[in-house]
Amino acid sequence: MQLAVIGILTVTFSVLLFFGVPISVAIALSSFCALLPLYDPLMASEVIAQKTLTSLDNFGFLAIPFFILAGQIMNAGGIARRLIDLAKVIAGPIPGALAYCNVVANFLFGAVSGSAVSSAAAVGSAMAPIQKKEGYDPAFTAAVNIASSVSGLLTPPSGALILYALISGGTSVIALFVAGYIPAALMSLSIVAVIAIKGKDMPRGSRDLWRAPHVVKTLIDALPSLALIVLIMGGLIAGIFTPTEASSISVLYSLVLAFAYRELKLRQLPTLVKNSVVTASIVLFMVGTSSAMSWVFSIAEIPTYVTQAMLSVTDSPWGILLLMNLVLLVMGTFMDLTPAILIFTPIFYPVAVKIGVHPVHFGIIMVFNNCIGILTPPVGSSLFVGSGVSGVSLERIMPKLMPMFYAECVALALVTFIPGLSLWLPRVFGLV
Amino acid sequence: MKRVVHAFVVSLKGITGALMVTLWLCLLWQVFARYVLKSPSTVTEELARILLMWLGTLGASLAFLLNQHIAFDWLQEKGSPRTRLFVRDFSLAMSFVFGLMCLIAGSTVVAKTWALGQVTPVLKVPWSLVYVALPIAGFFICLSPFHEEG
Repeated sequence: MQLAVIGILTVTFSVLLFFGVPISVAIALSSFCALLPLYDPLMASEVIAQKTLTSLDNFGFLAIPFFILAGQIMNAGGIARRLIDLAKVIAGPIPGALAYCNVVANFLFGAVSGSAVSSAAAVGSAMAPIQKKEGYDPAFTAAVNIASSVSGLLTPPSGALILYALISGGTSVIALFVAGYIPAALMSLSIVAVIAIKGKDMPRGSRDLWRAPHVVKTLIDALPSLALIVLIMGGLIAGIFTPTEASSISVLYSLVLAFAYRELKLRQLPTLVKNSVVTASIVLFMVGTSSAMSWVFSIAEIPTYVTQAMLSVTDSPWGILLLMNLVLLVMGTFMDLTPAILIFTPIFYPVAVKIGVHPVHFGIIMVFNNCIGILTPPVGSSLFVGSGVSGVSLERIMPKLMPMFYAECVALALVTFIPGLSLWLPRVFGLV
Repeated sequence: MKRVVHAFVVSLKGITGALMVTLWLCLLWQVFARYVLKSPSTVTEELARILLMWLGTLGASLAFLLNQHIAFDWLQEKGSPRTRLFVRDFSLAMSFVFGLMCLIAGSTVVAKTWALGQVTPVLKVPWSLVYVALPIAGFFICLSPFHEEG
């Protein structure tokens, strides 16, 4: 019976996915088919429908729409541009300055918006014309933008970390938020290393960037945007508000800032709200349908089955972590971040806990892995957005992106096998 | 038909937008009530959870009507014109089947919870009212073959 359920689930899901059916529909219909050996069709569809709705009955998921909205407001409200100016000063007059600047800007924007796609769009579209004017290879800079945009998914307020926290059954969102900073920095450094090797002959930044008045002015301009990080993280660590409440405050703060900068018009707001509703609902609906699917997993005891199968291959924790990384990397190329986290967390989490991996550390491994996944075709949201805003075709970007992909895999290996990289910071704050 | 769908899209945008704004106010009120009024609000927490379930399902049906759900579109990009046509029709057909499932199963779930008379703990909202979002979303998903370009 168990094998029948697993078989039906895998085959129908793969077929539906391959033929372009929306992912949430593919998840729901394959779960429905897998339940047919156990229930009559009406009962099976009632279970799926009910699970889809009630799994959203969780205060934690409310953070997702509002962090998305805050990201949209930051993008439209001139916050991204001020962070890019600051990144230019940080990169200064070294060769390849604008490429480093792109990495730093993505890290900063990711750290306020928690979104890879917003970051790739906001930073990439602002940087690409300047980089082109100064004689950078557009394919290379597009690759840099794409590869570095995903660091935002590891820094708060990352929706991916919130999803993992809730799906894994109560890992602390705040601990995950704090844990993500060092791995995200490591990810950015891996791109910096590639630029350092490839970019020796690239144009230098202007010497004027490091003149004191300019530095002070840029810093003052960017300070209100950076203060958001302090406000949100400070509030979370001090226990003043929950991550969900933080999301609403983040919307309020970015609205005030965007209006104060006079870059956001009141009439733009309905469009921003509509875009956020649609983006967030697509994620929430996937959360709903995939929790129906993970309910099917649990009645078929798939997590137990996978744990036993993995332990029979190797019983070394390192071997199992390596195995999980490989599976996630391969699946990550075919799946977008959200469904990959929703589907693989319930399957791999019990295995990870059994071999003694800390839930916070495992969350970082999961998300880091899927970050790399959205850089690669055939399904890669950051890749598509980055290629779209730069106007460079995927065929031209891919060769330039490959070294960065390998560099990020090295960073992933470090994060996987050195737990301290993820756990040290939360320990300092007494969160784990 | 296109005009009917357009009217639905416009009203869904309005409803989900209003839900989003209400949710935002609920969350801000939570923080305000706890720190300024010194009395945590259980009402807004439950209200927010119910509204989120509505936002998630109705917003998802809006995404179907705007054809914006995420799919693996490799065949759609690389296939021959005939394959593309097939892929488009197949995925719309499957979305329709799924919509029908939500409509039928959702209605029976509503009927069952109505008969049991279950209500939420704080606001005493009947659960059947919460579940009504399912058949409504199902109805809109069934219309996705007539979607608009978002």
